[in-house]
Amino acid sequence: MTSWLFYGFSAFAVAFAYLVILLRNPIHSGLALIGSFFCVSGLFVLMHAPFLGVIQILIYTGAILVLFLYVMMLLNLKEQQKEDRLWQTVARYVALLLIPLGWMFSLKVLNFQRLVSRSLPEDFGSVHSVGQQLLGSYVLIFEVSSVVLLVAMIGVVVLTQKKSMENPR
Amino acid sequence: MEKMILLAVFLPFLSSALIGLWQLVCKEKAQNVAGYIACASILVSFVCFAMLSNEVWSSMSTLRFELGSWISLGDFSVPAALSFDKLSATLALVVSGIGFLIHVYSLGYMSHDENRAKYFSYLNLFCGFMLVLIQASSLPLLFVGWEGVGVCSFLLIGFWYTDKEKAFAGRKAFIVNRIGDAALIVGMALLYWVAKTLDFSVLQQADTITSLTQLSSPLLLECIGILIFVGCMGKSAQFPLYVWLPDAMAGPTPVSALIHAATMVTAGVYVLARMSGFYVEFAPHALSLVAFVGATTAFFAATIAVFQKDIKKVLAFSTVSQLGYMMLAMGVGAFSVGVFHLVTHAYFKALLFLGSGSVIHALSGEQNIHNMGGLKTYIVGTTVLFFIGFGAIIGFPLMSGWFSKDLILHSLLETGHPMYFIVALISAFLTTIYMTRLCTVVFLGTPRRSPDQLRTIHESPKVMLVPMGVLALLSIVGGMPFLSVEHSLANFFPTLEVEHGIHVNEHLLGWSVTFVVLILVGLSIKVFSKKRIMAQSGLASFFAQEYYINRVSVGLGSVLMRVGSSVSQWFDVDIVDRIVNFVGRELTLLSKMQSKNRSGKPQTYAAMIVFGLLILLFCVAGV
Amino acid sequence: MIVSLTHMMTLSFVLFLIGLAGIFIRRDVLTVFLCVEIILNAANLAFVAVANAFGDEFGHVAVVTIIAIAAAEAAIGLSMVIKLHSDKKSMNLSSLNELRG
Repeated sequence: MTSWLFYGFSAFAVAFAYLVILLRNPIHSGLALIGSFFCVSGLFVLMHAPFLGVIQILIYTGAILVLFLYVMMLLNLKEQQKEDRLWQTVARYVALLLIPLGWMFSLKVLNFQRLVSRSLPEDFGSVHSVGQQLLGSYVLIFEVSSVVLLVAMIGVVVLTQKKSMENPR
Repeated sequence: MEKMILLAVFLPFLSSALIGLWQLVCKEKAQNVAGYIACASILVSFVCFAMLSNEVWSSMSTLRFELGSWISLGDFSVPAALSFDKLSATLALVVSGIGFLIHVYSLGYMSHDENRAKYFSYLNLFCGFMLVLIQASSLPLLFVGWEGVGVCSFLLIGFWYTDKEKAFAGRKAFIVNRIGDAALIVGMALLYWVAKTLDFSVLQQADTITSLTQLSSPLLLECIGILIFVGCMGKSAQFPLYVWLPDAMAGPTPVSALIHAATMVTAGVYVLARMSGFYVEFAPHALSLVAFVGATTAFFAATIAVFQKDIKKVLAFSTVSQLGYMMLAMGVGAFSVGVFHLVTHAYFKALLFLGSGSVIHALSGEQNIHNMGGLKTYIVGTTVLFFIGFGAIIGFPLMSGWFSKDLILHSLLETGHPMYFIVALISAFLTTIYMTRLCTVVFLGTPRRSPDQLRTIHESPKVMLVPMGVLALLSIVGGMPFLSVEHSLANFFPTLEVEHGIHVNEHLLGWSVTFVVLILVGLSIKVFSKKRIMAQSGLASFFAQEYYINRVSVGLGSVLMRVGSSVSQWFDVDIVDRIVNFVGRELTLLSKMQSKNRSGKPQTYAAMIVFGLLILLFCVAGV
Repeated sequence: MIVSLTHMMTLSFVLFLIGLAGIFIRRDVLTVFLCVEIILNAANLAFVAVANAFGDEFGHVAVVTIIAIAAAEAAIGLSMVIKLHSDKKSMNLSSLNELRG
């Protein structure tokens, strides 16, 4: 049963991801990506990572992607793909071939002995234990990513200032 | 009982937030009521502390209230707990008691200000943070209060921020304090590194002490002691980090009385008292540095104070000098005496500041003492109260300052520091001189204002005089009962080993010093009522300009900057530029050849990245 | 659940390829950003799979970090997009060729 869930999620994740590059309207692409992320989140849950599953939906989908959609709507994007060249339109459909090709390639090349289903400790991947790791052994990574976010915040403020570019002092 | 600590500490925060939000919502209505809310909250807080202190003093126990875990990071954890022992009880009573009186005084003093709700909100916030500082059971929590009072001090010094100079004074105080705070943080981190705890009670425990002595080098521990003291130097305005305190007088006068005389500036002394066990056990050399800095500060600030002409500046330097006194007492190991002086100083200096505020209020904002003179007939109440404060600070017999100052002098001899004794004695005489000068020039003699101006002089309202009266009462009788407190506190602190103590009769010493002081008062009144010493002669201006420390540090900075900049300019133009130009020229030639291939399209670049990645992958796979 | 790590890595690889293809095929900046997100997600998937297979939670920590960095990247990227829109009135990547040699 769970393996079926796994394959189902995988198939949908790939299908939605393909839709992202197939659809013309960026907003549709963004919505497709949300679908893909939901499937990936399901996979996370199946792989004993409930915390990440929740994070994936809450932050990745709920904050980051919604921000994308928000910007798309803010800029009131029309379909701009009219100016696509022919090769791009063709490539967009040809890209579908990548799925079986990549599949075959990696099945041939990769050969891991391990299974993604082992008897793991009960609280593996729970908020508690991930939090312990994050604020314990990997606290430096945690701090650095907070600095990265701070820098990003300052960067955004600077970038969106009206006059910063026109007349630098 | 423990919960009462929580109530007493957080009530000021609550009322501060309440007033702050209220004056945001409806500005006009809040102004009149805000002061009463603020006073009430501090009063309740004071009553709670009175009850708690009674408990602590009678049962000799330490009350502790756990707020839960504040930081828990791996094996680093900071429990947030408020603890209440004799030391915090003494300080908390001073803070909330004087805080309440000054809140009441502010009702009168700020009654014409249109932003007084904001003022009371800040003042309450300050009291809250100060109480956190005093009640904190560990260094990090103390640091929260420490920074909080710093912020409030900044907000209140720059309260009239539309005046650029006042806003600047606020910033200066904040920035100078940063220097000390940085040292304090480093000291704290090092202390955690060696001791694995920052909790005061754990630090005092026997097994921590033994493990500390075994594990770490004495030099490191001394460094920790010095770093923490540098933090105290910033907050307690010790030489050379005192420069912010005189400028801090830009704030409203009650603020100067509460923050920059009675409470916040004594935080450094409190930290030293709190860490006394650590200092005595591990950092005796840091402690002698404390004594040295304290003696220097006490002496130099007193000489500067003699030549100031702003009434509040005189008191500010007097505060710096008295803080030096406390530090000196801490440094020679007379912790309980230092705390005792802290308490009495809080009384009479708050009284003097409030008195000066009353004078300034009466003269509608005049602060230059040479424009005052002969005020005793115009504002009788203020004059009487101010003279009581004067008596206390110079050590008039049986007033509070008399007890504490003589105890310090006595303990300096007892612990075998005759040099410090002489310095402290001279500072005490200087204190007498500048305070007599202040009183003579301001209150005695003939009025130096025009008759028109004299007619507008008005005595302050009762709401300002009554708190001053209470403080005056405390200044008079506050010494005697606190003597027993001091004796009781003495057991609380560790004792430093004395090598060459000099034993003298305490009473003989006290009375002979008093005798000299009284003679000095008489002489100074004679001198200053005749001649106005202006800051014009070379020596006098040298003192008045604070030994040019402010100017020298700025000037030195700019000279260093100029030398540095010309050196680096030469280096930059003649060496770096040449290299850079050469490399740049060659590279331009090379890149001109390359740039033909660059399309400028991001996707082409991405393709190149992928191509490079593939090559890398094949290399890795091939190996 | 009987799924080998190979399958998970394959899925990750396929998602990566799709994202990569999208970057080259699509012209408008926003969709290219979306494709970058797909690639990041493929990496996340690989991390979680390995973490699961080896019973090491570092993978989870890495994913949390990647999400944080993706947030930073999205914020910066989107503000650049807005800047681009107001300066050039175009979302097309091929209009961004000032760095042409």
